[in-house]
Amino acid sequence: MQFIAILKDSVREALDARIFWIIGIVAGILVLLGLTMSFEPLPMGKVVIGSLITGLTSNENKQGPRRAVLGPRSGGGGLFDAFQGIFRQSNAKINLLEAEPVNGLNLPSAEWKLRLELPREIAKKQGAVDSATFLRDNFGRIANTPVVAIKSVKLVSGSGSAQSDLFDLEIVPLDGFLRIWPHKWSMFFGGLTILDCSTRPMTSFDVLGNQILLLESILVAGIGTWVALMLSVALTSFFIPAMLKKGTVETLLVRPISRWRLLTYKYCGGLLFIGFGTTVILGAVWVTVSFKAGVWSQALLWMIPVIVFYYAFLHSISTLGSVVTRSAVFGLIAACLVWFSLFLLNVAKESILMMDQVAPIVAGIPNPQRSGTVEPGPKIADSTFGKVIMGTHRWLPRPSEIDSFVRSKLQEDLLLGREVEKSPFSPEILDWKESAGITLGHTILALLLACLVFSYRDP
Amino acid sequence: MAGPVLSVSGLTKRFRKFEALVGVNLSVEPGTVFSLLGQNGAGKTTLIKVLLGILKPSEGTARVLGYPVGSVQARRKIGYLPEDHRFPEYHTGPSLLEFYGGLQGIPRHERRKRIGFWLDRVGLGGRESVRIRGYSKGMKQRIGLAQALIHDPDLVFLDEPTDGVDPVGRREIRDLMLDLKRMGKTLFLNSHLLGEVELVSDRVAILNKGKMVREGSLTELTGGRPSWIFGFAKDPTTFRKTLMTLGVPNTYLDSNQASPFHQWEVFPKSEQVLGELVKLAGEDPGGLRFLHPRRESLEDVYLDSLGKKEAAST
Ligand SMILES: Nc1ncnc2c1ncn2[C@@H]1O[C@H](COP(=O)(O)OP(=O)(O)OP(=O)(O)O)[C@@H](O)[C@H]1O
Ligand SMILES: [Mg+2]
Repeated sequence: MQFIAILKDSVREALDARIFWIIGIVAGILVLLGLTMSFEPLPMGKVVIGSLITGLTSNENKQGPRRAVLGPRSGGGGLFDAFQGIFRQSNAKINLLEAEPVNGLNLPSAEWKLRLELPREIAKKQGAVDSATFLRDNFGRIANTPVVAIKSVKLVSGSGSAQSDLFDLEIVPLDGFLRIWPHKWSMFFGGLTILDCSTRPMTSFDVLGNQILLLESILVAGIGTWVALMLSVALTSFFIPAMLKKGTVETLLVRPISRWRLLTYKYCGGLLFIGFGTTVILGAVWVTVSFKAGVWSQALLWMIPVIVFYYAFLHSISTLGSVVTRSAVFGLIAACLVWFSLFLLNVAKESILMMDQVAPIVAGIPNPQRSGTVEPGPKIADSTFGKVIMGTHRWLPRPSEIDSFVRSKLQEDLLLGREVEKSPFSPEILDWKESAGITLGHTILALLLACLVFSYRDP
Repeated sequence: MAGPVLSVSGLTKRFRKFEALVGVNLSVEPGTVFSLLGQNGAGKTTLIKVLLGILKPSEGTARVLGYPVGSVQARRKIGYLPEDHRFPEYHTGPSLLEFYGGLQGIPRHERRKRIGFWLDRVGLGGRESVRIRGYSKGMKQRIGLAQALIHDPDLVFLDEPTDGVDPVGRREIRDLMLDLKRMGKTLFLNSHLLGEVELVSDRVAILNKGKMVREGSLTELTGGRPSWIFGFAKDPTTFRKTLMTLGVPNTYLDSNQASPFHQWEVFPKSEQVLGELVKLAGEDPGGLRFLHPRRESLEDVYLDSLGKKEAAST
């Protein structure tokens, strides 16, 4: 009951501070902007189907790790490789002879009739019983997710050559088909074209799934997270200092509730608002984007718990700051400072890793003034400085991992399967549980400290 | 409840080096009004805050309602009106009481009833929709009283309850305090208004620079036996002689221009002596016009105990 009382009090406080207005306005603006967006499918069915065919054999010619434009390393078997296969024209062993939409419309919603020329050795190499089974089991899958359903596979009798057979396929589009279809993406009711490959060679960004990924991962998960987090911390930074003001705090301390509870409940109040605000704003953005694009990928909704989670950390820092200094401004500054330091720490760590990777390459470049190669110096990561940076980075919250988590979720969903993103220079894959655990630990620690100070110091 | 509501012994509170309270001893019986007097900065508010568990004592012990200070059980039954209170401005009267009532653990249906009752009782009925932001000083003081009483506490600390309240309101608050006392509640009052204190208090303590300099019931403090003022129309010759012969200490009060009477302040040693004097005065040709007892005023006691009597009267 005391929790409810404090919560209701916080709601009043938030209403009074127009927090809900701000949330509503932000959500409204984003929705309006989103509504002006459009994604138009381009008549490029053959390219899409071509990519599916390349996908059939792309696991044969795995390239070495390659850092793609969007960030992730190529994991193999994904849409990315499929398209890269097409652009490289390297392994077009399967020929697409004909591709016609059944209803005559070159659109992702159409059913298609295809004629393929399939070398027999491919099925054998892939361990299939025969070519028809191979097609049935493998065609139209990207990273093991079917993007089309296969209605029929027919061997065209009497055709083909000694090495290959001709097949007629009828395919029905599934959800994923739309995601790999190239679209023209524009904003302001077509006033501003963002991506359109009808007038230039196609890149992997022209695919709807990737466009949504771009939009969501850069605007929403990237910048959006930072703005949302800072805004949230700023909006709620005065909650606790207001409660600690002389003349106010006394009226609370005399109630039959322990001080740590009072503080923790108030802290949770802030958390609930931001949870609510984030849900409203992101929910609105998600509905708008999904509605406009026709792709309902739930990955973006992961942003909600992630933002609230990191907000919880920052809020605990600002709570500690304001309990110690009794000032809203200092609480806010404390949170910003911590956030910025963590950011710098991450930059330092990435730089060290990068320099350590670059150094041997530089050392390997022949030097005309000296004979032989130069021995590369010791790694910075092994120096005391490096160890301190690496160690601190490991045991402190890593906000830089926020959006990579969501981005990887988005990639899984929109790009139809990718490996979890790796930091470009560190060999290990991010361990979300560890990262979250460390952040949670620090959150609890800061809150605990704040409770201790609040409980044992005279107000 | 058996035993004192409040018992304090050897209480000292230091802010760094500064001693705001020094070895305070105190005991308050249930159902009484206890008033604490003292100059600004004497430590009155500090003492209340220590007793409420808001501040931690540096030395000494205190028990409130039978519990150690600051215990949650005790706080359930304590009400507090702070001196410079600042209630969250975004609340209205009812919502503020709703909030504090919730913190006090009053069940919802019960809360509703009490909120209406207390708003009316402190004179804020009909102003339910006004936010505290828009309250006048006196209104704030009234809502402060309501929040201190909403949970039906046994012990109420009021730190200058009439501060900023108009004379009519002050009277209402005084009546409220007397009502509370009648209901068996114990009141702990901090005030600078000695007249008010005199009217409601059972016991009074005077704090000077953190030390308790006087403590006692009103009669104890203002002296046990009163003196008497005799007023005559003309010089009472026989009355004067009798005072001399009986050896009764007396002072002639210089009649100022305003008063046409000849006044004597008389200090009779016994009821018998007083009786004789009254009888004689009635027969005196000087013509007795009035006779009334005179106690030392609380103000006298207060100034005296602070060593300020002379300084104040000159
Ligand atoms: N938090 C604090 N830190 C330092 N000194 C304090 C603190 N609170 C009170 N004091 C000091 O303790 C002394 C007593 O203050 P207190 O507020 O108890 O006085 P008071 O008797 O209530 O005065 P007033 O009649 O003006 O309300 C003052 O000298 C004050 O400066
Ligand atoms: Mg005071």
